[in-house]
Amino acid sequence: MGALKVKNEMRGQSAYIEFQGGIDEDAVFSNVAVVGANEVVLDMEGVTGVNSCGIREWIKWLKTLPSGVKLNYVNCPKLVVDQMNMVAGFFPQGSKIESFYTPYYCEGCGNETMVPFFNGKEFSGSKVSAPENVKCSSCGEPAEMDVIEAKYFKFLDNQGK
Amino acid sequence: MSAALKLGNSTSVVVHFGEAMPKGVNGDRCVLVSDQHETLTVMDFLVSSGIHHAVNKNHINFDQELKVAEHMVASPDDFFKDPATIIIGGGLSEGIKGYERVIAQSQEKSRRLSEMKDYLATIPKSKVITDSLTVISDELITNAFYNAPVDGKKQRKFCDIDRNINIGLQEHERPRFIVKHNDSWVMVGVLDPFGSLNPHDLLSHILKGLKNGVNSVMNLESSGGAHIGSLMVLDLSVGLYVAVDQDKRTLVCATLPLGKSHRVIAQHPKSIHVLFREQKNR
Repeated sequence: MGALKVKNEMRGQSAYIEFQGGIDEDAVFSNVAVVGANEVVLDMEGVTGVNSCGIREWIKWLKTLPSGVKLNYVNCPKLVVDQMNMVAGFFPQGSKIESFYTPYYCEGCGNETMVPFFNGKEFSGSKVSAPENVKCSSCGEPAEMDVIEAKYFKFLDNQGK
Repeated sequence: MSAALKLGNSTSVVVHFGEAMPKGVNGDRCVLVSDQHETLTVMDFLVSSGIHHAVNKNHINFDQELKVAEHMVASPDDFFKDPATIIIGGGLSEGIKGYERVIAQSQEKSRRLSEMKDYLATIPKSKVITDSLTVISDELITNAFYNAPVDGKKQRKFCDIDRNINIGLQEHERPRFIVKHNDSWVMVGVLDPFGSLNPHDLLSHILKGLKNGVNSVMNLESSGGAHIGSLMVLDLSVGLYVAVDQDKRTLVCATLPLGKSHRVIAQHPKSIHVLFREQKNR
């Protein structure tokens, strides 16, 4: 998957953390500084894979964060959303999500187009307003949302109110 | 009524969902044919009945999946030797491409997964399944290094070791990573030379996770694996093939179709096949 690189910086009261690479057995989170932050923004855009050991390390790390710190996930690729739906604790109860990707599929050429869904636009709370007119990024023909909605958007119910 | 299925010199018994197992027939020669889409329901039936093969009537390749069961029963050695020909080729090797790699140490895994991704990128309409195949392969390779190896007393050597500690294996202990495909399917598999997997325990573990949730079987606190890899493999694949020649070799393969959407794959019923050749004098 490629070793996980973690870049973090303080932005006001928020710790903004960018991940690049695979969340696996080699992922190290212990040196991620969130001291003094009341919010931790987790930018998952660069996550290229998640395996079973990575899921465990992730959950263990989140459990070490100070209580009261709000988690805010951004730019989550499908492979991260899948784990949020499969394993309790990957997206803990009360977390927020600002944006994630949803796959659209082109029957014509078989290409997959990832469409970003933003809080307040394509979804609000657990209500999803998926865009209907999406064009295939490869051939330009219409592409259809390629998820089972009840399953893929289930994690939205876990968000903090 | 149970029906007989014949291929070559072997006869297997087809059991339809909800039927009782025929008396005097071993589960390893039985194929459960159902129209149940719930993996939990099918797995529950397999575990409680001892049946080794489950094929759904709505499987894209229903007839071929029945043949796979027959091949595994009738020609187990052929299955170990060339699983792709049986699983995705329907017994014919024509049109099957791909490669195999012997892996010497666990830290090679990353490189092998990258290599596979590069290879998959050359196969038309494989983009949808690349991430899933990567996770499946990751889990199978990890298993071959940390769970499969046993010592002379059949004790697992590395199962409690953290997965970020590199394990190097002797030449005769090394697993073989298999990546094969034709125009319709991709199969990945890992063959190890230990034969230490107990398929019944594996299915029971998966069943427990399906029944009570992934977290119910997850190892969060102690060292070793996370114990959810097998659930992830089954969840992501359309076909799971587990073959164990006890104390000799284990082969676990998974398949995904090419040119299908996530939605089709997620709703597609899963085939599950088990071949378990026990050592009588153990």
